[in-house]
Amino acid sequence: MERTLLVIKPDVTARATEIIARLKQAGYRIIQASARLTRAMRDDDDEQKRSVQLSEEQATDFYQEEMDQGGFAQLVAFIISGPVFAMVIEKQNLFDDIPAFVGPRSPDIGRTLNPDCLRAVFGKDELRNGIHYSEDPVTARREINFFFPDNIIDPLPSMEHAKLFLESAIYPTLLQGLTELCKEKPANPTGRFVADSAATDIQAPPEAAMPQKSLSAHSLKSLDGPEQPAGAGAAGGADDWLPPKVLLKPPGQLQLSEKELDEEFTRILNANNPHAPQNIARYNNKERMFKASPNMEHIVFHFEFDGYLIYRGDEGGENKIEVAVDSAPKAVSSSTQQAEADGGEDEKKTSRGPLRNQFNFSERAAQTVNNPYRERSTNTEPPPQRTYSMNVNQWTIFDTYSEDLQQKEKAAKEKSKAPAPGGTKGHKDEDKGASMASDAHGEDVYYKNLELRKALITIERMANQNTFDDISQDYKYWEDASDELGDRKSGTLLPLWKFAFEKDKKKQVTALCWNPQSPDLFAVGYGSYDFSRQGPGMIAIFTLKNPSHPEYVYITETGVMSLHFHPQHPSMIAVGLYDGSVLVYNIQKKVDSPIFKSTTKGGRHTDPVWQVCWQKDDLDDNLNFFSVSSDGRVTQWTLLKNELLHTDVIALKYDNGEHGQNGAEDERLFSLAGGCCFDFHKRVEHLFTVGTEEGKIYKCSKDYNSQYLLSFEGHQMAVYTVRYNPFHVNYFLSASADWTVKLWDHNDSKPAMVFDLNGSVGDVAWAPYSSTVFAAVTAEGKVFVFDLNENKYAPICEQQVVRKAKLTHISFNQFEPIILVGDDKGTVVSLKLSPNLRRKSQTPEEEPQKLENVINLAKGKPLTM
Amino acid sequence: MTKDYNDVETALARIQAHKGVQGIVIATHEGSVIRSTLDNIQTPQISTLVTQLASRGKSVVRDLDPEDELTFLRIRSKKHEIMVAETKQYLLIVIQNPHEL
Repeated sequence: MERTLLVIKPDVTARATEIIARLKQAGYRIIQASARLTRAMRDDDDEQKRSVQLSEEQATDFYQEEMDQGGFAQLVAFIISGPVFAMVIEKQNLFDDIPAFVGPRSPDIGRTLNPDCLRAVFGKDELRNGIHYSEDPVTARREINFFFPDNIIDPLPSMEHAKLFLESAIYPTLLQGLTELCKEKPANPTGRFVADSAATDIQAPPEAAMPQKSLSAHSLKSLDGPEQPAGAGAAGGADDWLPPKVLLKPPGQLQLSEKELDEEFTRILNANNPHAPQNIARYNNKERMFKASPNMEHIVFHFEFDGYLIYRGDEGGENKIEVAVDSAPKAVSSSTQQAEADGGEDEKKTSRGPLRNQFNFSERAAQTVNNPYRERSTNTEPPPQRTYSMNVNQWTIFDTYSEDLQQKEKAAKEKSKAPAPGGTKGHKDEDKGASMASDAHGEDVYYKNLELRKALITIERMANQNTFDDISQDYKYWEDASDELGDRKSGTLLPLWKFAFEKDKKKQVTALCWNPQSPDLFAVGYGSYDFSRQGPGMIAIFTLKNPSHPEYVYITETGVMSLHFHPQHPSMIAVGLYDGSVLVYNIQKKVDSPIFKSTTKGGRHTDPVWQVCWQKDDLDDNLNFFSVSSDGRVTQWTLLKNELLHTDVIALKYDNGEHGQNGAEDERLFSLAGGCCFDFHKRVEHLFTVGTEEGKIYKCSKDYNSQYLLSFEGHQMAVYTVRYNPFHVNYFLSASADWTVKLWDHNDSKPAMVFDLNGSVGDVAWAPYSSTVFAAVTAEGKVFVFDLNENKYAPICEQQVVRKAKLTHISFNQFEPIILVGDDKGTVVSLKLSPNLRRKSQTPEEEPQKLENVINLAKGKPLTM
Repeated sequence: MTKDYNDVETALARIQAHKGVQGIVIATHEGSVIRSTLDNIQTPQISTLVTQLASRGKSVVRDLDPEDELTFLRIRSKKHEIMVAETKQYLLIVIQNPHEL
């Protein structure tokens, strides 16, 4: 079904009724007309009232499509010249039919083509052609909207929508109602009742019904029955354009004959619900009996539906919707309330606020300018970052803790000292700064670092160890296998390192002494026994760990003749020089000069000091040592705080020179015997023996400086060494240039044993481990080792150690099976004793007895076991 | 001062003169060289590598017993023996070839 707007222009408004009649005749239905027109059509009022007067603006607006065509001004002027009638007409295939029905724009052409068309009949010329209509659905929609803003042209519901709506809203209600009716099976026929009520619903005029009502009626109608436009035309009259009454007949309706239909039934409508039971009885507790309950519900809701359609273009759409929803009347279907409901709706419509002028209304709104958004941001400078990583070990933690502890202790100390005057504090700070500066300076220079120097020494030793690896291995592990063979009465000496100080090839080794504490440290004295080749002397202190270079070197003015390490203070060395002076060095002090030196004034010897020997501290705990010189004196030197005090112990006189004792001073001087060597008794402190240049040996005491305790037969030539046995304290050895070594009992003036070594014996030494073992060196360059327990007459080892050189000194190491021999070429050789050379008794207690036995045997005395 | 210097220098010369000794490097624990008798190619190599090893070795010793201290490190290889003496401030490194005897 299509709709369009048809306007009866001012020139033919007088003939509007005629035109409407023609429209209806042609099958057009008038859906809506301007309200006045509607009323006019009903009431047949005067013409002025049924029209709408357009203003110029509205007219311009209405004809805006033709604005650019010629004659637009005249058109507008014409259309506002009088009231117009506007209506919405409806017909099937309207847009196909209407051009022919209304006719072309020009009535003159219309008259020639179709003399029956409206414009041909009513129009005068092209401008005043009498009728305006919308020619296509789009224009129609716009123009209908112009005149009827609250008209709703709803699109035809599609089949699906209709079905959905019926299934959801209509069928359930219908089904319920119908089934209820079927169940009730009332005496009077109900079909009629349903049909009547349905007819009543449909009869409600569409313009008066609320939108949802018209919809429901509309859809019902469009579904339930075919269009009956013919009937409407036949009915005629003012009400004919209204939808015709249609009787709905259910399929199973009773068929009544004419007579039955004409039969009249008087029915009175009342408010009682015919289906409500009237006999409900309830137990009344008050009266203790069942009573019929008087109040019955007589209202039945057949259909209830909240509408969703509202007039378009109304003000306050939102409010309207609310109001519409709230006030949407329920489809109350009660036999008596129908009329009231209709009236109420009319009232509601009229009471709705003041209606606005649809055509002359403008709405104004003002909006203040919104401040534009402004973005403001500030970047602060990012805090500085630094990546820091560190490994933490257990020891770093330990160090940190110990440092912290130290600091705390320091702080505690300072706190206890805290109340110090401010004046000194600044001074202290300065001191600190100065000391720190000097420290820093000291640390800056690598060669001042003491630790580095120690490291240097260590490194040098290690390098030497690598260099002399085989010797080190021999020293530690090599034992001569041949000792196990044969009679086990001979041994060998294995040469190990050679020590030589490059600078002094021409010097002779004049003294050898092991350090009593460090098994690897020994001192070598360099000088010369040759009167014509004297020069400066030297003390070199070597270690076995570094054969290539001495640890300490001290240069002396004249040749060194003797030296001795202090047994209790291993850093103290006493030195005797060729010129008769004695020196004391302390190797711990980092100085090259001696800490004590004898002076000419202070009782210096006048001849070479052949031997020095430390003694036990005196009563005042002062260190002291003895020296013997060929000037005939034995002197005790005491180390006081800053001077060397000398005491002459004894002057060596010729035993038989009685005139010397009583003679003049000069004679006395010459009569003194030149002391060459001495040794102290190991037990009796004051006893000592002295060997002289003349070959005599005297036993003396520190307490008697006037005479000898005993005079031994001695040697033919100078006595170079006397040595007490370390185990059997009464025996001593003497070595002499007369090729012999003699063993003495110090209570006997005759030697107990004599050994001829075929060469000038430079030195002899007892072994520290056995009472019967001693070693001697000769000028032939040989080393002889005797073990009297094994062989009383011959050495168990006779070995050439150096060639073309005289051996001058020998010394046993106190801890290791090592001996040192020095020669007159300035070389010191270390030798390892083979196992046969170092046999000892099972216990040290047996050692003295062993020697005793040997000597008794030699003397021809019986053995004491 | 000159005496100290001479002492150290003579000691260095002595070690250098030893059989098989190829070079001596005195370096700090950080690896910067203070004194070296090696050439310019070997010195930085030795100083960086050996100081790393020494510090690792020091860590090992200290971790085993925090009161202990590494004093000496010897590495014997087919060709060389690298000897490292540790002091608080310096490392004394000597490269020796013990087979060159």
